[in-house]
Amino acid sequence: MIKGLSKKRGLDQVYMANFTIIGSGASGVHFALSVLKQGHSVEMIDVGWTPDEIVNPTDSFSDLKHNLEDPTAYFLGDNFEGVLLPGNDGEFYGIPPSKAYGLRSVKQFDSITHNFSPLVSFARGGLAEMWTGGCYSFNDAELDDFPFAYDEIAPYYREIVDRIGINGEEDDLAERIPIQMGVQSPLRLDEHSALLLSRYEKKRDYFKHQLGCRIGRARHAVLSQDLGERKRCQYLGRCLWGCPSGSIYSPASTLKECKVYPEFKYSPDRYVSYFNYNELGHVKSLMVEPKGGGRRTEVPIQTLVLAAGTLGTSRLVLESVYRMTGRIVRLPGLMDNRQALVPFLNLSMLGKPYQPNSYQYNQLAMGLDEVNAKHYVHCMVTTLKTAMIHPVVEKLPFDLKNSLYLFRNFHAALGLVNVNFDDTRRDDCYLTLDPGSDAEYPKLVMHYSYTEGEPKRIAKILKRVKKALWKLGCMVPPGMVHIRPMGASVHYAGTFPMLGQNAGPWTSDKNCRSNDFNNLIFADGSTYPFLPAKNTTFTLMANAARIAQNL
Amino acid sequence: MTEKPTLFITGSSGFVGRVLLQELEPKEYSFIALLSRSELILPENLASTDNVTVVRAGIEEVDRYSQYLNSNCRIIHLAGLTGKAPRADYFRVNTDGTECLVKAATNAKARKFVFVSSIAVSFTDREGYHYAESKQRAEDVLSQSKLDYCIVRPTIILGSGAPIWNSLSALAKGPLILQPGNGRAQIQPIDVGDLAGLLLELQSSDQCRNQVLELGGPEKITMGDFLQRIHRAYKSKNGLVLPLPLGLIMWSLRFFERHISEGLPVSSGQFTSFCNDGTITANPFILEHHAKLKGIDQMMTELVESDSVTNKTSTELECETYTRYLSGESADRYVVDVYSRALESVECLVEPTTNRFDLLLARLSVKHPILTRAVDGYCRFFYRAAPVRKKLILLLAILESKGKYAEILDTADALPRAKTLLHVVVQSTISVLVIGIATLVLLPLRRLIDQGVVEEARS
Repeated sequence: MIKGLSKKRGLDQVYMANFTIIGSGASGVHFALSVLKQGHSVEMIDVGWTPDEIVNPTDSFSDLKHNLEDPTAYFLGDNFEGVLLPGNDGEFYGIPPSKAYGLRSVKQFDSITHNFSPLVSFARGGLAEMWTGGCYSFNDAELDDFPFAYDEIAPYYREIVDRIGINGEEDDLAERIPIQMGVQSPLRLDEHSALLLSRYEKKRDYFKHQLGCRIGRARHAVLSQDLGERKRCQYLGRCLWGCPSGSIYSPASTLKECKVYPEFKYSPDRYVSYFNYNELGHVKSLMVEPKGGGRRTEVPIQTLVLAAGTLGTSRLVLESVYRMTGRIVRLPGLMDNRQALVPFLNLSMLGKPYQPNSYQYNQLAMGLDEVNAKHYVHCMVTTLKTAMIHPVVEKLPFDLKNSLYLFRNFHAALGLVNVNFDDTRRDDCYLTLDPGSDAEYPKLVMHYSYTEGEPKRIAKILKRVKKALWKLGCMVPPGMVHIRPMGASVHYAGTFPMLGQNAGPWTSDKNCRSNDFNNLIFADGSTYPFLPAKNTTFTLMANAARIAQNL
Repeated sequence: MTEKPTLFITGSSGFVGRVLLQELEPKEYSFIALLSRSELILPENLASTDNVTVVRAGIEEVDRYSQYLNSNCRIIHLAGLTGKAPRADYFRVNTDGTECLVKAATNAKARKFVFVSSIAVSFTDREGYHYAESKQRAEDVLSQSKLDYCIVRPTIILGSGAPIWNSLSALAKGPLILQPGNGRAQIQPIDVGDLAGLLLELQSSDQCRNQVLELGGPEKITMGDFLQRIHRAYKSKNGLVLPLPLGLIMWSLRFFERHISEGLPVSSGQFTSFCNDGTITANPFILEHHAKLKGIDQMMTELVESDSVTNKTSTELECETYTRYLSGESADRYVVDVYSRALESVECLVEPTTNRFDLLLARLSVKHPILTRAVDGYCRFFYRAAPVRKKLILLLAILESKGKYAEILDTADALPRAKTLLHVVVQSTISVLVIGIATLVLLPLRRLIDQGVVEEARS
């Protein structure tokens, strides 16, 4: 018997923890760690797909191509699923086979989508197993719709900095992205990023005052100094394929930390179908089945914490209500960051060799001010280092021979700005359930509607991005801008907004307690009342720590 | 008892190097170090011994291999840049690289240095032939050193997979024999196995010290006759010769090479064998061995047999042609195997196409890398999801995953920016021209085929 877990009468060999958390993603593990530190007991239930063993951990990206016996199996997958053939909808990279576990689904989960292309993770560590490590705190303007201001969440941002290790710098971006004490020094800049930053610094006034644009070092949950068992970045260029030194933060490392506590129980390989609740809105138990399907068992709970991501959490609530009452509920307010990819070419880098041994993701970030500060536009500026080249080469407007020639001489000069837009809760963007004819596994319906003014706003912002790039000495090849489909940013939020205690059904209070179920807490992005343009994961973790503290 | 020598071989993964390794008897050496820039698969005779080491480095990376050079060391220097490359690369690899090795060998007081140069050094007309110039300078460096050396200038080297055989048979195997020039230039081909044996003998003995030896096979033949014999070997009859204006070709190539080198399908230097005699000046060493060396008929029979024994499947031929188109290199066994497996795994390519236009594109594209380019260029704009283009992208993904090809595909030329820009403009112009011509031919053809299909369906 696990210390701190109490036995419930009538259900043999089943024990109740103080908190039962669904999902091991960024919010789940930080909520767990916070309550464990307070002395509570926790059970975490998770499907928990895990990655394969890291291959040749000291090899660089280029070394792997020479040293692996079957390099195509690693880079492209046993069934070549890593190859992006013509007609891939404009994406510039695919999911590497070594990260496929991050998006591996289960047979119980299915969806119907409208204007939405979701990515759902059942991995141990959730979608943050595949993230680029961006950690950007929200400022007061962006938290305007939240029931707390920056000062209130700031201590928890700081707590997360200490837990996971974040690098960054007090630069121009700090005016829009508050920086926390304790951040590590930034990573080593690659030549191209350094060139862009120096050009910005020379024209800083123009950028800030004429363009309303700031550029600075990206903030990442990537170690530039060792932290516990995790080693600092080794600059192997393998970020996308899975960091072999563990320097890129993964929730799995916090999960490992949780496991040290005797009051913590991790229960992987289990899929939670729904929860049972009584007429008073008290959640009594979970219906859990093996991840591969099979007999459901009932697991009693004290307090349920949903941290399965907005889609997973919402599905669980929707299905529970449907099972208990037969009602099909609609959860309005689904949000996601619209993203636009703007490739660019820096002529000063033409013909230079690229630097494979460097941090692969964006080393710079760019912000564009808007009249209303909460609509600040956040951009990640990535210079191209290691990547599979065929998806890019395929898109160049020449035969492959010439495209390859151009690419290898332009490689070091290429870059990509990922432009992120904020999103607001709207009634016509919603999640609901379709029980269909197979009531065994109802489908999650995701419905997204575009706002009328969106294309105009995107065009206006892209014009500014292009102008900023031009001032940095870069040009944007015509016809190469790609507006990603909704769902691509995987920053889903908004279905149980924290609007206060009496805000009505399908909402939550300031501390993310459900207004519909009295022992249910939402620990993930489903409680966001507004989705700023910045990467949300840092705030997810900080908010999870905040609500755990305020229990 | 005399101490066994050590052996150091450069260019171990090259055409001659691979055969030479098969001929090696590892027990004769206390240690064998094999320098190779690209991946090296050891032959059976070396794979199971523990006195062989492979050094993955370039010849200029002396620090990485100097430890294997010593006063009891014999060196066979095969590494060199051949084929089509920018002028600077020839001198960087062939001359500067050799100079690095010579210095390191001198410092180590190496016992013997056998350098494989080229018969092209003795050509009377070497204008624009940077390869020959770079080899000449490398010879100069070695001959001025204090090393005990032997410089070998082989003639055309034949053997399975010989680059020159691939080029010449491509000219001669078609319905017409494409003959650059008048065909009167003489050649004296030598078998790669014979050459490997001679090199091993030279390094192990004290004969021919500090000499330049020209090594060729036992027979001389004109280039025209040689092409005719290739044609006969494949077609069992004499072929009609279509002379190509060699002077005009070389002049044009030299003109363009002054400004660009990338993107031209061949270099002017590669045509010098058609206007210079590539025969040797007889020397006692080669005369002593001539009786044992293979003659032209035997070499050719073996080559043609090897081609048929190889019995390449259509997938292998396709992979070979596409690999040459994308990387300029031959497809190695690994690439062919993975490509074949991929075609059986990737859903949209598993089912063979029955579309007549697709079949036409497929047939055209495997004929020659230039045709692959034309088909690919057309598809990029008018038929992006064509099976041919999907296959090319699939192969590209495979190639970029494999070290040797990844380096070729993704290494910048490192030229000054203005020159890079100029190259980009010229390359892109060539590309546009190829695409334009391909479109003029393929677009109407597609319409005709589509109409034919429609009529067939109606009938």
